[in-house]
Amino acid sequence: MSGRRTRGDASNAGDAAMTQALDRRALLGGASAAAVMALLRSSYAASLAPAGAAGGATRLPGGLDAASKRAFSANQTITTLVQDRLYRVGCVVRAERLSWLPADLDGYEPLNAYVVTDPDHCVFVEPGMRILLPALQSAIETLVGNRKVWVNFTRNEADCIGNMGYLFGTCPDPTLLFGGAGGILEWINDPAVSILEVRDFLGRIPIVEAKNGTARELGALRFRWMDAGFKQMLITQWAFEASTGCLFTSDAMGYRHLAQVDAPPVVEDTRHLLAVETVTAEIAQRMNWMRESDYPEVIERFESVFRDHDVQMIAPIHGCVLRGRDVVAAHVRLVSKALRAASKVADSERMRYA
Amino acid sequence: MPELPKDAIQKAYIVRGGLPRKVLPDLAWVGGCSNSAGWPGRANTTPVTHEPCMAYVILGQKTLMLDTGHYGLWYSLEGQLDAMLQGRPLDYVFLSHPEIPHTGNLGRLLAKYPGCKAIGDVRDYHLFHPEVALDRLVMAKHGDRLDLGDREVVFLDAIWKDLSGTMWTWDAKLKMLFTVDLFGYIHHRDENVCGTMLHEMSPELATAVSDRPALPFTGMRQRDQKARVAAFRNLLQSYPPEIITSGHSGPIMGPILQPTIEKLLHAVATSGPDFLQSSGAAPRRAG
Repeated sequence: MSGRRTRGDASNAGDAAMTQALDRRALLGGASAAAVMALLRSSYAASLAPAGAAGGATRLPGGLDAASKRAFSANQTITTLVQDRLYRVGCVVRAERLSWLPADLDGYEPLNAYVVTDPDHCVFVEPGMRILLPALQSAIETLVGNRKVWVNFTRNEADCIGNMGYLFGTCPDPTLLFGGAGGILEWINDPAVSILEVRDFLGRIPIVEAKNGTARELGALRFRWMDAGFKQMLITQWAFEASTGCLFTSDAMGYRHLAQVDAPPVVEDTRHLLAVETVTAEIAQRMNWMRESDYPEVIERFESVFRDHDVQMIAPIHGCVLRGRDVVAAHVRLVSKALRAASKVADSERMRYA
Repeated sequence: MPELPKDAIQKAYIVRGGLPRKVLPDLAWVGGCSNSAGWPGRANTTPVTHEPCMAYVILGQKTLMLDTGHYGLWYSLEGQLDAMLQGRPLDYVFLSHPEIPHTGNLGRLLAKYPGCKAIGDVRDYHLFHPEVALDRLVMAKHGDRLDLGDREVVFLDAIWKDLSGTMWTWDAKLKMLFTVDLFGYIHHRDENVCGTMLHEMSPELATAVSDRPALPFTGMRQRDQKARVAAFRNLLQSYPPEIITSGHSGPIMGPILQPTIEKLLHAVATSGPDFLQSSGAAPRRAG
C-alpha cells in the first residue's frame, strides 16, 4: 500500500508537488493487469469522446488517451437488482482521494445511481456523480422507452445530483419528485447548451412534492419518503420503494467496498462482515458532527426505519448494494453499534485548535 | 397531492446587487443573494428570501478567488469577475467544500481561465468534474500556505463544517479570515442590503441583519458547542482577524467586527438563535 500512495508533499502548496498527488500513475500503481485493462476499457474520457476525435491523437475505441490526466472509472454498467423493476447504474473508481474513505484503503469503490421501472414509469433515484454519466446514458437509452420519466434525489449535493441536468435535458417530459429545499433547478444546467451559457430549467420542469412522511404510487411503484436515518447534511431524505423493498439511503450505509475492480457491486451474504471499528471510522469521517456528540434520537430514528419497513435491499450512492433481508439485518445491527461508537470518536477539529 | 405553485418555483432566485465591489484595493467582493439554500424553509419560520451567496477575489501579485460562487448566479458573476480583474488572469480558485453554492462554478471558472488552478481539499472533485485535468486540482491540507507574491494565504481546517473536508483560509496581509459557512446571515427584513456591509448599515439594521445567523450544520444541538467556541477563540489568537468574510455575508470589518464575533459565538454556545436548520419535513412555500 505505501508504495502505491504517492501523495504530493503539500507542505508548501507548490504546484509541482501537489499535482503529483493525482497523477494517473499513482492511481494505477499496484493495480493488477486485469484491473488496469478494465480501467482502460471504460475510462470516462474514452467513453465520451469518439475514436479519432479531432484535436488529439487517434484513440482506439474505448481506449484511454496516453496523454490524458483526467479522472477515469471502470465498469460503467447497469446491474439488474430486481428483474424488470430495479437497476443499479454506475461505475467503479479507485478508492483513492475519496473524502469518505480512509486514505489507506486498498480497493475500489462503486458509485451508484438507480432506476426503478414498471411498464409505464421510469424513476431515476439519485442521478449520481458526473463520472458515472456513461452508464446513465446507457440507462436512458435502454430503460426509458415510452415510460413517463420521474427524477428523485436524496440531497442537493454533487454526489447525488451531478447528472440531474443531463436527465432533464435529455429525457422526454421529466417530472421532479422534490422533497428537499432550495431552488434546485437553478443548481444544474441544461446539457444542450454550453456550460458557459445560462439556460436554466425554471418553469420548464414540473415539480411534484415528495416531502418526508408522504407516499406516492406511480403505477406499480410505491414510494415513501422520510427524513434520513442519519445524515451529514441537514436536508437529506431516504426513500423506500415497497414493491422492491429497496431503501435508498443516500450517502449512508455504503460501507462495503470492492477488493477487485471487477467484483460485483452487490453484497448478498452475511459472511465477511466488517468490524464495528471499521464502520465507525467511516461514519465518523463522513458524518463529522457525530464525533463527541450525543444523539440517541438519531439512533432511534435509524432503527425505527427498519422496524417500520420491510427492507430487503439497501441502495447507497457509493459502496455496494446490500441485498437480502438477512444481509440488511446484519448490516443494520452493525451500523447501530457503529453509530453508538461514533459518538466516542475524538473531535479532531476541536483538538486541532485546543 | 397538489403540485407546488409555479410562481413559487419561479421565485427561487432573487438577486439584488450593488455587486461587485472593490472593498479594498486588493479585495473584490462578488456574488449576489438568493433564496436557494433555505427555500422553502420550515413551516414555523419566516421563509428565507435573501441568503447571500458570496465569493471574494484577492488581487495580490497573483489572484485568488475564494470559492467559485453559486452555480445559479453565474450569469451575473462572470461579468463581475471581468470588472474586478480588469484583464488580469485568475491564477487560483480556493475550493472550500463541494457544496454547489460554494464551488458549483468550478468547471466554468477553469474553462474561462485556462491557467487557473483549483486548490483546497480537492478529494472527490474528480468525480464531479471528470472533464477537469487532474493537475489543475491542487491538494492542500491544514497549515499549507499559498504564495501570491505579496502575501501568503494559509489553509485551515474548519471548526464548523457541513461537508467533511471543509477548509477556511487566512490572508496574512489583509489579516482576513474566510470562514465559509460561518458568519453567514439571512436578511429577510430589508431586501435592499445585499451589497452592503454591516458597518455601512444603521446600527438598528446591522443588529437586525446579524440576528439571524445561518448555521447550516448538522448536530449543533447534539454537540458541546462551548468546547468548539473555545477552539475558535484559540484560532483567533493565532490568526487575529481585521476582516472576516463568509460565503453567506459581506465582509465584516471595522469597529463592528469584534461585537459581531462575540454575538455569533454567544449564539452558537447557547443555541439561542433561529438557526437556518430546515429538516425538510415541513416545507413552506416562498412568498
